[in-house]
Amino acid sequence: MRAEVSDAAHARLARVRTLVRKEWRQMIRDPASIAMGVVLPVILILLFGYGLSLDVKNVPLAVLDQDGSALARGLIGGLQLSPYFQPRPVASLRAAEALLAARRVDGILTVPQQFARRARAGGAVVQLVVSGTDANTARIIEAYVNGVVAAWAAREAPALAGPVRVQSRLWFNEANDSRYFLVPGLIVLVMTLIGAFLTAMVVAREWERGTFEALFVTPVRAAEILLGKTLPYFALGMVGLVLCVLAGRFLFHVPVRGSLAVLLLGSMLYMLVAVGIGLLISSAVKNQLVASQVTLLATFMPAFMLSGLLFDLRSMPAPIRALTYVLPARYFVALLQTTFLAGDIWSVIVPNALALLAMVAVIALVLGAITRKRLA
Amino acid sequence: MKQKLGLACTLVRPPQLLVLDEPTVGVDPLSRRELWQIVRHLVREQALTVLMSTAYLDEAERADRVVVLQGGRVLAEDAPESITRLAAGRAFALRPVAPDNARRLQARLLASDALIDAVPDAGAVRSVWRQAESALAAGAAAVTPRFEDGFMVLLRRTLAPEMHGEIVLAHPPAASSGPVIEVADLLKRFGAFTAVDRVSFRVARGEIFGLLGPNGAGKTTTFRMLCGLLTPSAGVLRIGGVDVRAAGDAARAQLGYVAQKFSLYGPLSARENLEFFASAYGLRGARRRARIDWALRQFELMQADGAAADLPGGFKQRLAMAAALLHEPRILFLDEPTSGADPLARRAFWRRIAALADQGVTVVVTTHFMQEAEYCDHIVIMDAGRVLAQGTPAEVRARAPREGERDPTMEDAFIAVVEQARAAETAVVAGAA
Amino acid sequence: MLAALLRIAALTRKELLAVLKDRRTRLSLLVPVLVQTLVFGYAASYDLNRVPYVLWSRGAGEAATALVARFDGTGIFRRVATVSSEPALRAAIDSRRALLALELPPDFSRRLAAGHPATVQLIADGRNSNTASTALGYAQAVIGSFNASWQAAHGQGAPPVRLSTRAWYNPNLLTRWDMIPGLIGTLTLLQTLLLTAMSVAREREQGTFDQLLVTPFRPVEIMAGKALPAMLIGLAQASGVLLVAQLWFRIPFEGSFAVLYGGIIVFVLAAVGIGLVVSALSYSMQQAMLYSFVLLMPFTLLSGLTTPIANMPRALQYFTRINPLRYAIEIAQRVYLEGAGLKLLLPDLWPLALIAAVTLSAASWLFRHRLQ
Repeated sequence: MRAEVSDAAHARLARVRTLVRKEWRQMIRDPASIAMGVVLPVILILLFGYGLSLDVKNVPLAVLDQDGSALARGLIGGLQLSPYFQPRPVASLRAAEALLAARRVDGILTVPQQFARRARAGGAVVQLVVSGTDANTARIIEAYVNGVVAAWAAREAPALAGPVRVQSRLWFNEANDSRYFLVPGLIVLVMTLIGAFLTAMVVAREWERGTFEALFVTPVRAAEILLGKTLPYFALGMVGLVLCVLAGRFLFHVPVRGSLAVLLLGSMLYMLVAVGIGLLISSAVKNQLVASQVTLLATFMPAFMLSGLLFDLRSMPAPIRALTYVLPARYFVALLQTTFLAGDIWSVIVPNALALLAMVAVIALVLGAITRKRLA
Repeated sequence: MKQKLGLACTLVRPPQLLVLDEPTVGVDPLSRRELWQIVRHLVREQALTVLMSTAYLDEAERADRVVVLQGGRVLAEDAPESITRLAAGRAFALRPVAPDNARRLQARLLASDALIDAVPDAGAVRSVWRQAESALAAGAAAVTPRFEDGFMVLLRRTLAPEMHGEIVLAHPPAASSGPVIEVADLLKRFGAFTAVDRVSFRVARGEIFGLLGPNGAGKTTTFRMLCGLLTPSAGVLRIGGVDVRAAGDAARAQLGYVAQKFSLYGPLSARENLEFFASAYGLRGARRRARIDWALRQFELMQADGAAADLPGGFKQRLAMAAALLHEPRILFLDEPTSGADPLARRAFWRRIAALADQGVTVVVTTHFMQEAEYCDHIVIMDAGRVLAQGTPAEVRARAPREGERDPTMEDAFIAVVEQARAAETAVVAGAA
Repeated sequence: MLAALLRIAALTRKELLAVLKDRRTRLSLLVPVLVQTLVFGYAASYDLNRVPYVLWSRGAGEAATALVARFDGTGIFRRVATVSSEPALRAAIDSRRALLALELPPDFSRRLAAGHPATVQLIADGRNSNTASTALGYAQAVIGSFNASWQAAHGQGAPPVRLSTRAWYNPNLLTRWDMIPGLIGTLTLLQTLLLTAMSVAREREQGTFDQLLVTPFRPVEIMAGKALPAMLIGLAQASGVLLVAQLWFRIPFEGSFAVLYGGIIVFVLAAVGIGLVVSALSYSMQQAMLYSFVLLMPFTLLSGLTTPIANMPRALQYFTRINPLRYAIEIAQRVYLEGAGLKLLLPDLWPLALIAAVTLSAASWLFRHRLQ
């Protein structure tokens, strides 16, 4: 009896191994898979690491000094010392506004007449005009100018500088380097691309060609088929993960403060979800073109826009916030940003990992039901 | 080749039941024979049960039992011999008297009520009659019935013969002297690979010209060069006396083309497809309307509603032909037009083609169906890019070795010609080594 | 000439029929564009309107109460916890319950009452440092206004200098105002490029392409017949985004519609040109799709929509000069918000026109030489 059981288990294992080997060969011999699984991720890594940055530096700023006093020059000197600005003296407001309209400068700082006299008495005003065509950059510029002005005031007129002084700190990212959160975000995108997108496209193609149906008449079981399909893409996704972590650590110098084990386990969970979604979409539409578009809309775009990778989820309107709770990327972004930058903080890791685990379970159940139904 | 691999995959772990769904569609006679040898071997040696669907009746004849399905209902379930027996004493062959040919004789015979079926076969017209007396009165000689004859008898019990197939051209192509198509030393290389190797032939006005060969023989490449879809590497290629390479537009204006998959725009309706192709061919105003009406009427497409993709296969084939004839070309090219079609659809198709040829349209056709080569006036058999045999069907048939009583069929001739050529090739290679 | 035009018209009509007859395709061209405009219009914003913060006030008093009241009164800062120890503060930030922590020193109220300055500590969760910096900026502004009113109320005079900021074109600095005009180009590019890139491959796979080639169509006519419907569909999609921006988000439109449409037409030409090049080079739909994605990734990521071009390294900034989307976004934003006219937009328009000219001529060359 026991021997029989172990024989059956053996046969099963052998079947899964055969399937995995077949899928793997198919995957690495298919130029489309290689392009999707290797070339696109590498492009993404380079674009994210080098191309995307929210760090404003060397802002060209027109400076109009209508006062000309030593105090005013001191304030402007503060701008010159700051790495964030490239001040450009102008002679008139008209000239400055022409520069701003032509986008040669991002803002105009005006130090008005009588500035020195008023500053000593309190109540001087420095005027900043920014271009709101890029609102986020404009706000960062405003904050930086504010910082320069406050530092100047604290130095020149400590008595008048205001009773509450602020000491601000940016935990986990003291240098305020936007790569620190863009690189973990990149991993989410790469794994979504390989897991959901590639799987959906390749399996949809198998549906189109009828090779998937041919599998169903073999004695292979539903769970085995799913396992055979999932594992190679899962492995490719892990390769993508390793690439990203290495690039993040050594090319872009993003710290990994949590443990690699958590990073790996969390990524495996997300990869399972992504591959599962890819399989679900492909078996629902069975057409490469539609599958790729649905996957793009349902996984890639949300992973970019609605995951907290770039935009803060808490500030989105309630219906959209509710929508983000069904998106796996949301949980993975939280998990990754924490593991990379903050360390093994279980109060973040556990709930997010559990959410992903629940998604794996639901997807596995649905997939199992669909596959069994087709076998019956 | 693909079919063989597919079969091998299924058989790695020997099953008890093998289900084959039209395994020989688009497969040439040589590969078809090999596939059948494998299947027969398995049935004999491994006691395997094979369930196979096919529209090829010569294959059905080799089965132990057949089920004939029509319109979702079972017409018969029996041994093939019993079905063949339905035509016992009613199968006859009738030889055409020159200048008549088998095709024209067949067309005349089919117009008569006395017949159930007629197809050109080995230079004669093989026919199944309602009454043996009328056949004998017409001077036909009795022949041994085969499965296809019995099958037609069975089918005619429930189905009235379709009367379509009588295409009437509004303006038949004018008579011309000299060949309509002239090919001399045509050569096509893809890199180091020579796909078509110095092919020469001529096609006269109103002829049906067949291009035959195993898969990968170079017939599709030749065909695409004829249609102006590929530029030859070297050689002469004239359509209607015009050099295709020098004046592609002028040559193309004379030809109609029906691709293998009946290239239609799926989401568009039959009428919209016709309207598009009419405009594509530059038809305008009253002529455009007249041509579209002609196509809808002649090809019985009036009642074809909805998207072309949802039309039944027969409708699609008619629509594709209608679209290719809108601009009244002198030459019609058809690439494997009957691949996968059932026996009735094939007969209807060939009647249309014959009618077109009789009115002066030159027809060039590729096919895997050796029986259908009998409809052609001239055929060419190609393999590995070269012409192995050409001539009238009778001339080509004569190249097959005669075995016993039976007249060699076109399929026998085809296999013999290709195998001889391949053996010679191997001998040359061995000699060189 | 007339014959060629009629053939192109027939092909355009056929393409439009094939795309628009099917209800599913029709929906797939319209619904995703509208849904994405709505979702991204709401979601793709760097603005914060809900900043959860944790308070650690180590000493009570009038000044402390007043400062906290000012924070709570903004409507943006929401106090999620009041803690009394550093580990508790750390836990609130670590667990992402709070984005910001405000720590008041024990002698805060005492020092302020005595007319001495006191230092408060602001800690932000830097896991998304952009969000954190924005939140810190908001908090600084709250403290600045508290300072001014405290000084005024206690006869301490005014702060020596105050920064008064005015933002041109977008007075409240709302991300949405620049994001949604940017979406006009982005969403249009996605589908116009994919649609044209697959147009030839689809016919190849369906076998209709040979049929087309044996008709009197010249390759360039086929190209025009493929380009026109894609342009029309692209323009329709751009108009859809524009309608949502106008009617739903009500973003003030400062420029002229004629200028905007002029820019969009040049942009769609460039997008179609790229799509046609891809389409002439691809033998299957899958290949076309892959090429398109490999192009779309850098086009969208390096367009300036989500991160400014000025922040990129120089080499990539040069790359953005051949990115049509960069110009489309700039044109849309500038017409929309700045009311820019043709003259100001010239630096964006001529590169776009150049890209269109180069890609369309490359496509027509490829169509003539590679279509067999």
